[in-house]
Amino acid sequence: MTEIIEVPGQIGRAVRAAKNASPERLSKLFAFLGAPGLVACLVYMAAGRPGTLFEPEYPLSVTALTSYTDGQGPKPHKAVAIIVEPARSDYALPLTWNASKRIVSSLTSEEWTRNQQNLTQTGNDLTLKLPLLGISRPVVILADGKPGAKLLIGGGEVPLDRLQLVGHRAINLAMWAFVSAMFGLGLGVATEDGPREDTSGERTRTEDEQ
Amino acid sequence: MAQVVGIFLIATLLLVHFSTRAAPMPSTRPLDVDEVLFPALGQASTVFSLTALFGAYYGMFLVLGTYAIGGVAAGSIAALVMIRRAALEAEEKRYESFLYNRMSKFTDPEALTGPIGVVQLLFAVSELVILRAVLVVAFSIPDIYATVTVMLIATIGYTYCLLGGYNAVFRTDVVQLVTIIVMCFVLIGQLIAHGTDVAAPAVISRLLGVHPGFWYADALPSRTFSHVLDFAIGFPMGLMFLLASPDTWKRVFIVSKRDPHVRSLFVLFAAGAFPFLLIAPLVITAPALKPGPINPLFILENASTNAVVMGCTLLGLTGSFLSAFNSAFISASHIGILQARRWTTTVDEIVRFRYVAGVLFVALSALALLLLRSPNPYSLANVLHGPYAIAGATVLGLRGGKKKVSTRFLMAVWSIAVLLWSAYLSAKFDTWYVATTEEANTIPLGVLLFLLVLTAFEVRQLASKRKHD
Repeated sequence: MTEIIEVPGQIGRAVRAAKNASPERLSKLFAFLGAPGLVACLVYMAAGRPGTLFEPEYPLSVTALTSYTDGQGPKPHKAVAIIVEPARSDYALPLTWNASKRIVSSLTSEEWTRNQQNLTQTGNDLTLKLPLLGISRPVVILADGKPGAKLLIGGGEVPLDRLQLVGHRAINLAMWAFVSAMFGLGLGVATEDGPREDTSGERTRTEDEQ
Repeated sequence: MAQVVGIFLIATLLLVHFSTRAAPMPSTRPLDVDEVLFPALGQASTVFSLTALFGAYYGMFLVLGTYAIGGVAAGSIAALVMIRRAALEAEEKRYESFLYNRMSKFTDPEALTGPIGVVQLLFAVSELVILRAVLVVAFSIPDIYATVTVMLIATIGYTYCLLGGYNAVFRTDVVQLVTIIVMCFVLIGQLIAHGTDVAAPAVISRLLGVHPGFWYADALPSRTFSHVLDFAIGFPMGLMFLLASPDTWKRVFIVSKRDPHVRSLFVLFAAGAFPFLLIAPLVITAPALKPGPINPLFILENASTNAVVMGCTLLGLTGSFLSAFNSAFISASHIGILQARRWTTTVDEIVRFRYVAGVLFVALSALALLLLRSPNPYSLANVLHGPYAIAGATVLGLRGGKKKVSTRFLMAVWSIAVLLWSAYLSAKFDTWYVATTEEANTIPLGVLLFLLVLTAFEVRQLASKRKHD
C-alpha cells in the first residue's frame, strides 16, 4: 500500500528530472525510448491482439482436426484437439458433435474419474474447469465434433484464431529479436555522446561550405 | 536457428558499440564522417539487397534473362563511374559539404531533397514489407510473429544508425555481406543437391534472353534487335537506381577522394558487378516460371526443410535487409538534418539527428504497418519504379546538382511525371493485389518515364543556354 502511495511522488520526480534534463539527454530519451515505444504501441494496435508474444495468451490451444485415414487414403473429418496447460479458469467450447460424441484425453482413467466434473460434455459444449485435481502437467484432449468459431470464457468469448498452436521457431525468433532490440536500445541510452568539437583536424567547413 | 540470428544481431550491436567507442559520432556534425572503413565492400552489400532476393533485379533476371540483367549491371557500373567523376571534379573535400553545397544552389532545396528523402524512406518501408512476407512464406512464421519480428529487426537497424551513424552502417555492411555470401553458397548447394529439378529449357531460355509474352518480344521480328533492346532498357534501370541513392553517392565520393587513381574505379566495378555474379547461378538454375500469378519467394520455398539451410538463409536475409534498410534510413535522416540546417543552425546537431531519426522511424513504421497486410509484398517496390525513375532522371539531368533549374520548372516536371505514373498504376491496379510475372512489364514504362523526365531537363538546359548565348 505504501508503495502505491509513493507512485505519484515518483512520477512527479521523474517529470521534474525530465524538465531539468539537458537537450542531449532528452533527445536520447526520445530516440531510444520514446520513438521505439510509440512504434511498439502502433505494432500492438496493428496486430489487434492483446497478451504476450512469448507465452500463450490463454493456457490452452485449440486446433481443428479435419482429416483422418483408415488405411484407404485421407478422408475429411470433424474433430478438435485441445492442449491444456495447468491454470485456474473455466472454459466452454461449443461443438457440433459427431454421432460418436467421443472425448479422448491423455489423463489416466483414475485421474479422469477424479476430475469428472471438470472435463465433461454439457449440452453442446465441451466444458473445462481448471485446474484439474492432482494434475500439474499439460493435458491433451480430443473431441469428436466440429468446433464453433469461439471459445467461451467467464465474461466473454475468444475467437479460436487466437488459440492456435504457435511453433517454437516463431516464438524463439521474436524473442531473440526482442532481446537484441532491447540490448541495442539499452546500449543507446547508456552510451556517452561523442566529442563536442570536431576532432578530425581535416575539416575545412568554412572553406568547403558556401 | 533463432539463436543464431539472435547471436548475430547482438554481435553486430556489440561491433557497433565498440566501433562507436573507438570513433564516436561528433556531437557537432554527427553524419559528417568520411573516415569510414570498407565503403566499397558495403556498396556490394547494399546493391545486393536491391539486386537479389528483395529486389526487382532478381525477378527481372528470372523472367527476362541475361541481356536485360546485363544491361542493369552495365547501368549500375556506369552510374558508379558518373558519380566518381562528379566526386573527383568537386572542390569539396568532405561528402557532407558536397551534398550541402549542391542543395544550397537551389532557392527551395526542399523541393529537390524532400522527394529524394521520401523515396529512400519508402524503399526502407518496402524492405520491411518484403522481409515480413519472406518470414511468412519461406519460414512459416505466423503473421503476428512475423510482423513483430521485422519491426524489432528494423528497431535494431535504427539503433545502429543512431549509435554509430555512417561508421556503424559501413562496418556492419561488411559483416552483412559475409552472411549474404554464405547464404548464396548454401542456396546454390541446395540447388545442386536437387539437381534433378533444374529445367534445361528454362536455363537455356534465360541464357538466350528468350521471353515471349514480356516486353516487346512478340512484336520484334529479329532476336538480335530484341537483345539490344533488352540491354538498352536494363541499362537506364541500373543507372537510375544508383543515381537516386544518396548512400551510393557517399560511398563513391569517399572511395574516389581517398584514391583518385584508376585503381579505385576497379574497386567500384568489382563492388557493382559482384552481386550480379553472386545471384547468377541461383537464377539460371531456378525452375521455369509460367506467365501469370506467382509466389515471388518460390526460391525460398524449401529453405525451412533443413536446419542449416534455414539458419544460413535467415541470417543472409536479415543481413541483406539490415544493409539496405540502414543505408536508406541514414540517407533519409541525413537529408533531413541538412534541410533543417538550412532553416536554423545549431551547435550540437546530434540532438537534431536523434529527433529527425526518431520521427522518421515512427513514420516509416506506421506506413509499413499499413502495408504489411498487402497480399502482394512487391507492390510498393513495383510502385517505386516510378519515383526512382523521376529521382534518377532529375539527378542526371541536373548533373548531380551541378546545374540548377527553377523550383517552378522542377515542380511542373515532377507533377506531370507523377500524374503519368499514377495513371499507369491505376490502369494496372490489379498488380497491387496479386504478384504476377506481368510486373516485369512495369520496367520499360519506368524507363520511359526516366527518359521523358531526362529529356525535359535536357531541353530546358538547351533552351536556357541558347537564351544566354
